[in-house]
Amino acid sequence: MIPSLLMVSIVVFLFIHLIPGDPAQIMLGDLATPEQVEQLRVEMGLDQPVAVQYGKWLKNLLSGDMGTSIFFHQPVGSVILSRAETSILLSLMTLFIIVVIGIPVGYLSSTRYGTRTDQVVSGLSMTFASIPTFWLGLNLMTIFAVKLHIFPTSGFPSIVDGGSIANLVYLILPSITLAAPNSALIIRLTRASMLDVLKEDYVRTARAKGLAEHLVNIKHVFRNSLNAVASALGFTFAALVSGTVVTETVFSLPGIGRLVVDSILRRDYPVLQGIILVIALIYMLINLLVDISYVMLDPRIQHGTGSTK
Amino acid sequence: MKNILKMMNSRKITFIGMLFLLILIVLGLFAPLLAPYDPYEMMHEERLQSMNSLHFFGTDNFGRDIFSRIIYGARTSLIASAGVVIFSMVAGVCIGLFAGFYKRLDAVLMRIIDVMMAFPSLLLALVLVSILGRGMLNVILAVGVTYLTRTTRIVYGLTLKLKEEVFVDAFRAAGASNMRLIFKHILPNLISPVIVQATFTFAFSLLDMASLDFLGLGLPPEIPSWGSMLSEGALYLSRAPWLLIFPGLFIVLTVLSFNIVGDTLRDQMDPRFRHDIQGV
Repeated sequence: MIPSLLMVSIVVFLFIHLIPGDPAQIMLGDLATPEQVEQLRVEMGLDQPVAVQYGKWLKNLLSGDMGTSIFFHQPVGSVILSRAETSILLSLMTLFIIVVIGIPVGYLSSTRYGTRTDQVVSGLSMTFASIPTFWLGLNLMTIFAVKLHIFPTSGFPSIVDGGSIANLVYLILPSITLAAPNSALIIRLTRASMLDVLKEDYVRTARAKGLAEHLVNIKHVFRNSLNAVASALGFTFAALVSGTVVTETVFSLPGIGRLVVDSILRRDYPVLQGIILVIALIYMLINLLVDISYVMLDPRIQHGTGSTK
Repeated sequence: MKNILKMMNSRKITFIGMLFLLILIVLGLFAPLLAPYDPYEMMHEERLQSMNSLHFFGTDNFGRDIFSRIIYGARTSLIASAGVVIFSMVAGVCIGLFAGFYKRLDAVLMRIIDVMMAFPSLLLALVLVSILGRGMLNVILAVGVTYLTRTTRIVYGLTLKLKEEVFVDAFRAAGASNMRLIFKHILPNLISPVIVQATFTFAFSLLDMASLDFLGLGLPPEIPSWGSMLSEGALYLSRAPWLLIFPGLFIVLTVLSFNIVGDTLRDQMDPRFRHDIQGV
């Protein structure tokens, strides 16, 4: 994990350095004289070799300093933290919908394999997986917020900063938007992995010994298909990150996804760098947890004996 | 060919999907002939018209004909997605094959791919577009790189499996060179999974590029695309809903068609490889 982390940090550092435009010039604006720009470049250490700059950046990073935002004139860490609430709540609500809808519907679909129910579920989930997130969001907003006035159209007043828990209502449409395509993927995945397990000999044995059908399905089939579902959570996180960028833009939510787009448009590269790094870190951590959950869910897999991929 | 016909007959929905894609390709190819209006022409006296006999899908806030813009948008989407598919498949297959075949390359190449995979795809594409600048080729490259990693992983895994097969040993014993083994004996076995993966890549890259256009960080605004039509239409969502409905519908139908075709192809595929492709 440590070598991968180092590689990731190098890639992130290089990304930002490859983006055209001089940070010193951007900070000072168009009116600055070349001398002023040069002076700031020296102050920021931009005149030094890239390797030296990387070393400094990494050293600061390890002590928790991710630099200063060009736009906000605040430490990057606190800028990201101030936006974290919205994104974390949005992701948790979305994850809740995905798990509550995706897994049971996938289960139902596989136990009714080949029936009308299964076909309808398959068709619907494939359709939902094909809808662009932002289009679904705009449509939900038009229908439920603009026309019917059931939900607020956009924004999200903070709950942590003294707001009431009722503010969660602002996140209902965004989380439905974000959950739709992802639940579709989980439905199809749960179904497919359950169908695989249904072919196993031990399932036939369980049926032959007279175990009730629903017990066979839950105790033998579902439990053994959980492995595939757990591995799906890794890429669900990636999909959620991509999805929050779009969804937060559609619903004007003050989250990290929106901050990514704004930082690119404002050329606020220290912030962009910080966000990418934090997201990559969380993503790697989740994948590690998924690998650990493999072992817990399936005792046949042991650490160190071959890879599961 | 016979197989394909039989499959079409048993899966009518796949047939409909293929028919839609065919129509779309024709629309894209002959856009200048088929579009009733110039997609850039602004007719200010006809702005924000609803659907009518002159403008089938209405007009936008500049008085441009939506139907014509959708036809040109089909062209844009198909070219861009095809670009992503070609780039990611060619590069992904090459890297995957070599990394899978040569143990020494494996460590380096797959480590790089793993690092690339630590970034969620849209985020990676956003950053790459800001490095490269907006433009058709740059967007294709940026999105292509995110799909390259997935294709490489799949081809790599399959190559590892195929390398151990008896027929490869047999050809090696008969004196075949490594290059011959890779391109003449392993590659042909990978064709069908790669085609399936290509179909899904087409669908998902179309969605990703629409998102980039919507965020204003994709294709330059002067190229008509479904994503940028939606981002302009979003400003008029209560006044002119047709600005949202039609481009969105075309995205959904196109992506859905590709997914259906991909799904059918996957079912026809060698069952040993079926698990290696993650589609919808």
